[in-house]
Amino acid sequence: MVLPNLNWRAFIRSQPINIMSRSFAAIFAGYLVAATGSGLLALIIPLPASQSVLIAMMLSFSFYVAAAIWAFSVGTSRQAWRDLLLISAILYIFILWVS
Amino acid sequence: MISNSITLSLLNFSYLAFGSLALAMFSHFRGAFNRSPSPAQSKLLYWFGWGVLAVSYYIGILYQGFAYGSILFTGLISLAGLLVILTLSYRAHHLPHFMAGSGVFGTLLLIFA
Amino acid sequence: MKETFFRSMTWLHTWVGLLVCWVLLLVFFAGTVSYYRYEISLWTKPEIHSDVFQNYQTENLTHQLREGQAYLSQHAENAKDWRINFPTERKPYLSYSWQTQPEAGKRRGQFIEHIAHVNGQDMVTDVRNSRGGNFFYRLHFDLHYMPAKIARWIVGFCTMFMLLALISGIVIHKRIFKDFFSFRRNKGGRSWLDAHNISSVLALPYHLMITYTGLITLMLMYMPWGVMTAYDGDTRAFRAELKPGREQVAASGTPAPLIQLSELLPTVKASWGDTPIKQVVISNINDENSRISFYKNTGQSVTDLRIPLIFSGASGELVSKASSAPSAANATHDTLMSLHTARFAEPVLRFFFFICGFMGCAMIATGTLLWAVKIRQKQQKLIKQGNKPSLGLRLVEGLNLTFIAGLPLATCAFFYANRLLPTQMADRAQWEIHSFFAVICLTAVLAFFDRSLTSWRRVLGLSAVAFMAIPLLNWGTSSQHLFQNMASQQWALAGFDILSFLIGIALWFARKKLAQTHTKTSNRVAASTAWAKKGKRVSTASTKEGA
Repeated sequence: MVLPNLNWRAFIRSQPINIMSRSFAAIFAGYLVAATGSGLLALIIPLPASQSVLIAMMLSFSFYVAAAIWAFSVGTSRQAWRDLLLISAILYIFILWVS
Repeated sequence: MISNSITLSLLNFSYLAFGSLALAMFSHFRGAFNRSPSPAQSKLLYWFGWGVLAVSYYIGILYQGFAYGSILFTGLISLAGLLVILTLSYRAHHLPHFMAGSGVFGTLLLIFA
Repeated sequence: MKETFFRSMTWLHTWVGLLVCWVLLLVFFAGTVSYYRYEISLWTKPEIHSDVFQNYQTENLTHQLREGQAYLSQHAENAKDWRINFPTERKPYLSYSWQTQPEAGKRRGQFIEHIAHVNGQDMVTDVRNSRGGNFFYRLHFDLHYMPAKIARWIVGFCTMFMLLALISGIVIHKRIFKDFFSFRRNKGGRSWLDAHNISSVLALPYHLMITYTGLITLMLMYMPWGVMTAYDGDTRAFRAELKPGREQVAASGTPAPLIQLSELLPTVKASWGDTPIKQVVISNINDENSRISFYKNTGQSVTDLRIPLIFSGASGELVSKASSAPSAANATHDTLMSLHTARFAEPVLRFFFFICGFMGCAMIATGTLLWAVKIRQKQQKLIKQGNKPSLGLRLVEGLNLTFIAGLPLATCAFFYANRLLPTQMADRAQWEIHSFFAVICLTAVLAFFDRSLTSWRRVLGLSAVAFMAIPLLNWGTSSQHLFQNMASQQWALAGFDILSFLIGIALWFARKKLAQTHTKTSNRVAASTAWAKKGKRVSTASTKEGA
């Protein structure tokens, strides 16, 4: 049941929704980027396993920060979600392929 | 106690260095001397400040090793910067005097440590 | 997002900082205080203030080991493990401690510590129950009144926000070096902004380091995905590969007498030379699989690794493998962890860390005070017309008062509770902690009703007096007062009193500054009201004349 007086188009395009959407993208999709990024890094660094895992974990937070800044730099919040989810998906595919 | 004298002397030198870097800026030079600096003076103060900073870092590493020395130096310059800012905010005209004093005091501590 | 990258980053910097600032302030405050964790723990144990402190001396080792072993055999036969703790720079006493067998369902038993008297015969056994400095240490990542896991996720979340605030702050502050030395005082919002910039920029390397390394300390919890992919989720295998010497061996059940610990000293000395020994841990006591581990005092080396020499307790043979030089990744990880914990810092460097931590607190506090001032300025017109300030403004001002003024007062309450609660009280360690939080709650209640400068002055004034009175509190509740501590060179205790007093003076100056601002504002208001009234009378007179 849609409220008759609410302009959905305008609501979705409004600033608060834009901000919330980007924030969620940064927090959740950003985490995915960091997780898949460090997961992949742990596999492909040509050092003994324990060392590459260490390096991957230590770098993971930089990926997270980069992803979050990205989410707030691109043109629209849709782009933010698209970019971050796409990057995570690609990284995850690489993980499946390498392991 | 030796390491404390060196640390104190490096603190003095860092104060001198940051004071110099501050005076290299137009507004702060005016605040301290009531006249504008010439470009040559600005440049001299700027490079002097960096020079003293570099020498202090080198001395710090010499006496405390690379790891410990670098960490100690980072802490020192934070405190020195704060002291320079406080001087500029509350006693701007005294900054050159304090700088001269810390230069002398730092050198003495270094020699007699 | 906004028109330019810079505008977006400015917006991001403001909001990312503000949403978590009060939790961050608590974390930063507790973390800064815990730089002096051991010193605080010493102060909160008045029972050991006289005739207990001693320095580490190599010639006493054999004797101390023999005495310790005899004492522990006598008093802690069925313990899970024994420890003989030698004097270090920050814990200048000899003690024998043990862990009782854990009760059913628990992972750890109770830890009991008996501290040796300097005369070599008596033991101090009735040290009052108190978390001491460890309360603040745990507070800054485990918070309180909640399971550790939840607390660490909350703290991790806030830390990520802070990291983002730092990076976006660097990105937006184009004039970072031009404005480096500017501090325009007495200019309201402008001054708060300058103070915020100064406290952030001066200690920027420190802030970046402490935030990032903070995340690293708990990275196995926050980002375990490397272990998921490379080890198929087998965390145990990962840990084993990381620290090969740390295998825990269970008790076999076959009894075997423990050798004389002092017999192992020559071997330890051969390996370690003059490096002081910090601790000897004996596990699986009187069992065939007993282990004796020697830990060294790493002093000023920038490392957190505790690489022990492990011997079999039954036969005395060396069991631990020789540790090879750590890999680059291990060394980096170790360095980053040590930077966060700063265990290597001797007093001068430790003080610098403390100052930087304090600047971090100042950075957060000035940020949120600036926000409150800005919101109030925006609503000034509406408020003048008689409207109530918005919920947002009331919330921000209330939380500011609660945390910025309340945390120092709560810390004082903890110290006063430590000395004034009865020593035999049940759960007294927890009640000291309850006092801390009770004061925060009381400040929150005060803030609910009155957020004006008067409230600030009251709370700051109370903290100032309480801090300045700490040396008196110590004098009345400990065997040694400040001057005695200075004379006997017990600098940890003397330093505590002196630093508390100085903090009290600083708080008093802060309160005075607020009083001046208040008078200035009231005078300005009074002056402008007087002018307004004068103006009205003049116009009425002219109207009368005219009419």
